[in-house]
Amino acid sequence: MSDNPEEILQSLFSAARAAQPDTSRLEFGFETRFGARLREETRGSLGTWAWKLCPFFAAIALAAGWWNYSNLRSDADAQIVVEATTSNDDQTLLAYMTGEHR
Amino acid sequence: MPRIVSDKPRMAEPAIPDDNALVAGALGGDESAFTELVRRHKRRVFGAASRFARDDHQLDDLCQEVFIRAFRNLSKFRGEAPFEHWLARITVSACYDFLRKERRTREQVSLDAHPFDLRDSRCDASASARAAAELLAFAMRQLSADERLIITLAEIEDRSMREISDLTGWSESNVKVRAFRARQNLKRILEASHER
Repeated sequence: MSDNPEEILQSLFSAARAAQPDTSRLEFGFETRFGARLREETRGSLGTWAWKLCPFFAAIALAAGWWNYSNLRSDADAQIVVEATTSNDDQTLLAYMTGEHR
Repeated sequence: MPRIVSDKPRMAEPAIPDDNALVAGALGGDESAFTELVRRHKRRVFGAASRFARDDHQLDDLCQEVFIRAFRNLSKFRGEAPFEHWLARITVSACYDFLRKERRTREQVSLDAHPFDLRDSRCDASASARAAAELLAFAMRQLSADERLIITLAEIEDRSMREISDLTGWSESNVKVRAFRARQNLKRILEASHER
């Protein structure tokens, strides 16, 4: 073989050009494998999005809980006022006004 | 002259949708349209990717990566150039990323560890093309990812500088400089091996 690296290179390039690998075996059923991976990736990306949206939904849940709790408290307050005024119970009303009634 | 008219009604052949129609179908949610695009273009993608992958498993993964990228970016396909050109750019980009990743993870082995020798009689004209291709592939693993890409596209796939520029997104002069350096480096590797 020639000692000239340029010639060696050229002979290697032409050999590589001639040696196109046969991929027909791998091509067989490729669509099926690809379809499966695509579905997996799509499912995976849905899962990723779900995780990304987690803090958002947690914030909504906390806000809803706080809103519900504050509504319950105002409902309870209203209930006491109603009780006091309907029964004319001055003691109850007084206790509520002074904060002793809880 | 009387025309012979067959009384059998002609079966209308179903129109074969072109790539643009299939892209539109795939964008509209038709999974089978994209499958048809894969079926049509897989041979070309396999042919290009096989120059970079080292085994069947890598090749299959690489081709799947190409089509997944195509699927994700399908809405960016404008239809101004043929679909296969657009896909070729994606293929080159995926192969380049694969080479960069492989270079980071591959084991450092010397040329001496390779069973083939440049002075080996198997590298003569009568040598099998496969053995020479393997030897070249091994020597090319010493190159950087962009050098490998350029050598493969320019010397093995015999593409013009303009084509490579179009495929890689690098300017033509940049491609020429990189190709020159890649050749020089490859020659240096071969010379070093020859001196041993």
